[in-house]
Amino acid sequence: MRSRIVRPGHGLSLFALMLAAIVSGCTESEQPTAPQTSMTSTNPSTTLTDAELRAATGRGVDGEFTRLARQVPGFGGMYFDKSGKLTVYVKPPAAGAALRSTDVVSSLRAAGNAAVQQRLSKSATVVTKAAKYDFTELQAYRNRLAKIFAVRGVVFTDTDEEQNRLRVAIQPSAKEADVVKALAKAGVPREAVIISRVSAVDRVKTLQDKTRPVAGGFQITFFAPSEGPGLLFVCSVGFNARPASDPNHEYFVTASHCSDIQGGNQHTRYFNDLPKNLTSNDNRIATEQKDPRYGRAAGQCVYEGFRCRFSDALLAKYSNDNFSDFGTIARPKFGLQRIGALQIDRNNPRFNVVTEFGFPFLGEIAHKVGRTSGWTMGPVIFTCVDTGVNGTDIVQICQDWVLAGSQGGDSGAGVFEQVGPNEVALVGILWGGGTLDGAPVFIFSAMEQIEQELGPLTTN
Amino acid sequence: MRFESTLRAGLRRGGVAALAVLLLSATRSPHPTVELVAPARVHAGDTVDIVLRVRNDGPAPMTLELSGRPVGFDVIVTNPDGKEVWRRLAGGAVGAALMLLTLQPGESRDFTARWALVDQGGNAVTPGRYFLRGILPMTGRQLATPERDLVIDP
Repeated sequence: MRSRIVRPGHGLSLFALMLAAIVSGCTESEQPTAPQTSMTSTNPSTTLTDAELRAATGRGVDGEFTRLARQVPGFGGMYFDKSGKLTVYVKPPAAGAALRSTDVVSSLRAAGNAAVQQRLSKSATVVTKAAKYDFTELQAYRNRLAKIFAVRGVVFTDTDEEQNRLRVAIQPSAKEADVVKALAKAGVPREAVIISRVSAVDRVKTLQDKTRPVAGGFQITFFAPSEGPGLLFVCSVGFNARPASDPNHEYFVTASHCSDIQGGNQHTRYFNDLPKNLTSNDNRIATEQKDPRYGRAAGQCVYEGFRCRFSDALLAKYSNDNFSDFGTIARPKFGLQRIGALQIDRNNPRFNVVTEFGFPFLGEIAHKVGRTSGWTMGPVIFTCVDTGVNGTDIVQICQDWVLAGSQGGDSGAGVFEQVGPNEVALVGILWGGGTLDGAPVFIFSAMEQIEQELGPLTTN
Repeated sequence: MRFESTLRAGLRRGGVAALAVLLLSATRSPHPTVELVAPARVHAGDTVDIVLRVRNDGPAPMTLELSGRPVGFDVIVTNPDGKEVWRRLAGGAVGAALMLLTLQPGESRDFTARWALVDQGGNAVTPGRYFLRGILPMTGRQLATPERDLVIDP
């Protein structure tokens, strides 16, 4: 087996002719940024065989670039740079030769598939860069990485078209030396591989996962010893806030019945994720701080035998100010009227609170993000309704109803109106649900009512 | 089973983990059983307590996700014509918290509704035979009791 890196002729002469005709001074050529180490190696284990080069393949863009490299000798991949210019890597036949982009483009236009031609046709400017490897060589080396995932901490492998190198990404805690050792064992030149560190690929976060800092919409759990030992309840964080009485510390607002006892401060402990056991403070994020008692509601509770408040809301103080993702509500992937997504939108993970509305208007569209039914929205169908709570002696004064879904666990969720693509106005806290002629409704306490009882809050 | 893992198994929506736990350990039904407990006969003018009882008949602890606070269980009373004459949750709002109730094998929990033998409008119902059903709402599903009857004597 002879050592070789530059493959023998692959048949197509057009690009070879173009390369031979390369002259210096051509426009928009860039000097190579890659190391100039010769591909000819004294280590026979790093040389590629004809069989390996023939077997090199790939899927998607890698597959097309590998095919193109066979049609257009020296083609090393292409990408759009940060300024939007299409940049093409070409492996020159001799050191010092410059590249003429027009010939490269014409070769690619002749050999490329529809996806390539679409990109070429919309690119007024094409830049060429000197490649260290053609794309087939990169793919052939990549095929040698069959055992790379046996190295602890490897996250992904890639043929990096921007760097004209292979990339092996490892977790922050992984040992680069282990990867280097594996590359040597596989016969992959060290210079052909960029080793970078990334976080491990997480599963998509949902509203029910542990999170720090905590945005509105995420799950909280708490014990309610008044109802029985070890009895755990689940609710949602409404929104983060800084009360006027303690403006330098972080709090969140959730529903009053999301505490040991609805109304009155029992110093309920809140957890995200689940508590480890009955007494542990692991995963504890906050403690109930202000939860006014139910009573006559400033004389507006006219219902005999019932206790009232203007809001079903309480204020909990974070045990660490850094736990608060102030001014944000989690943004799931999509919202619908009855039930929405729980998965957080990776590309757009938060709504930004930009203002507050004291109360809603009839007919406005109100949204909520809660840990059980996710992001739902619908029209406000009743405003300022005195609402009895089933199975209790409680009447909530002046509440607002929305024709949209909620489920157990959504209590405390922030209710808002969208005022921009990603900007929202807080309008209240969800505390209840029911059905109206068979359609689901959720019920919330408006911001004006909440701040009347909890005091002025800064929320953005 | 550890406290946290029992809860987590119950909390995971979709129930994969819970199902695995239950399949590994259950020798009988992995689901809790629900039934109504009430007297067979009452007199007009009485007030009757109707108990919805949920019980873990399996061999392993199970954590139930019960919707509402107080838990939004329903009791529905119908007459022999099948017409609904009363239900606990008619027209009411339910607090939207979620209770995680862990039941040990053989353990049960009762939820009690009080019916004053009136219809939804508050009028006394006529003596006769009535049928009772109970519904326990859980995340993503609900458990219904078998129907049982209740005779109101004059």
